[in-house]
Amino acid sequence: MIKLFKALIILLFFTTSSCRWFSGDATDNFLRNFNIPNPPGSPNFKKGFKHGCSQILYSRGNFFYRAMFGYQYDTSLNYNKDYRFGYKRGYNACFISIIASKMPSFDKALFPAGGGNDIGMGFYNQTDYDATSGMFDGILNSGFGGDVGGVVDNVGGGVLNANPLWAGGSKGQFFGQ
Amino acid sequence: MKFAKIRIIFAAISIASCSTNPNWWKPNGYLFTMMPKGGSPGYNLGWRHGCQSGLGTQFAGAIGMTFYTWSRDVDIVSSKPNIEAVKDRYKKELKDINWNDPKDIKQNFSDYNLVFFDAYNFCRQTALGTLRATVGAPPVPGETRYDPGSANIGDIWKVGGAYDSRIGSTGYW
Repeated sequence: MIKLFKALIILLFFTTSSCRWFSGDATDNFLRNFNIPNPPGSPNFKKGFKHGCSQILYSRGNFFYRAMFGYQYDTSLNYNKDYRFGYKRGYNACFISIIASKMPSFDKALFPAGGGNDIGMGFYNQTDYDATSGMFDGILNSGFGGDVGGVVDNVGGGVLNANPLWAGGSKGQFFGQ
Repeated sequence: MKFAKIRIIFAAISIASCSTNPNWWKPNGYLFTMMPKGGSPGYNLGWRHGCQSGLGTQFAGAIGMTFYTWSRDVDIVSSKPNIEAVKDRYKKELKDINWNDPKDIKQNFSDYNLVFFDAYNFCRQTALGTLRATVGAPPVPGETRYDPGSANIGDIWKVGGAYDSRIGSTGYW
């Protein structure tokens, strides 16, 4: 049993050692969990890319993004060509990514609903969301003794009426892809 | 008595930031605290002017335009800068520039120009981002005017609006 446990640990070690989260340059790992390619280049270029990207993700992201990112800029590299080039590239790349957010689920592409803002394959459906109650509703309502969600529920779905982590809801969906 | 002291200390700490950020009371005024550290006087002035200009555009809506306006200084950005006018206008902001050193002046003016549109873009995009996450895209001329009564300040924390970042909604997660 102990041998099996040891073998399992060794297997786990080899598996995770190749994981992207544990490899690579730690200075740019903020992009690890995001679907934005980590561009090759000089350290200053990468730093600039990271700063530019972070800036626009803060600006145009919702409060999740604003909690994670912010205005970053290295004033000592004002006239460093690599840094400035990377900064502009990062800004533009992430700007395009974030304004094109709400990428729909893969299953919706396979089975287009034909409603909402669907065009053709249903790839751009931005309206057909699951209206599952949010996980915080019950907590807040019991805590404050009232319908907190309703207080801030003037435009469409309320702040607290949606699941903060999960926008899907269709069957057969894996992480919404 | 003990509480009075605590209250005074608390108040002092609370208003301490007001002196460093004169825009703290304005909408989106907190953005000015995000100015990067270590810049030259010209850089800092350019950043502030850029941010003010960005917040004074229609992207920030009528409220933003009420509190801010276009602030780019023509005497600095001109190909023939009016150094005397700039020196008089920003006695406090540019006090650390060596006005007897043309190289230092040129460097600071160059910093001003370099950062102006960086800050302009950052602040206007942040104001627009907040608006889009709350009331949707601001109306353009010809469209129905924005009705503040149809929105709520709590919508800033709406997760299902623009830039939805939940699993299954975007390309990020």
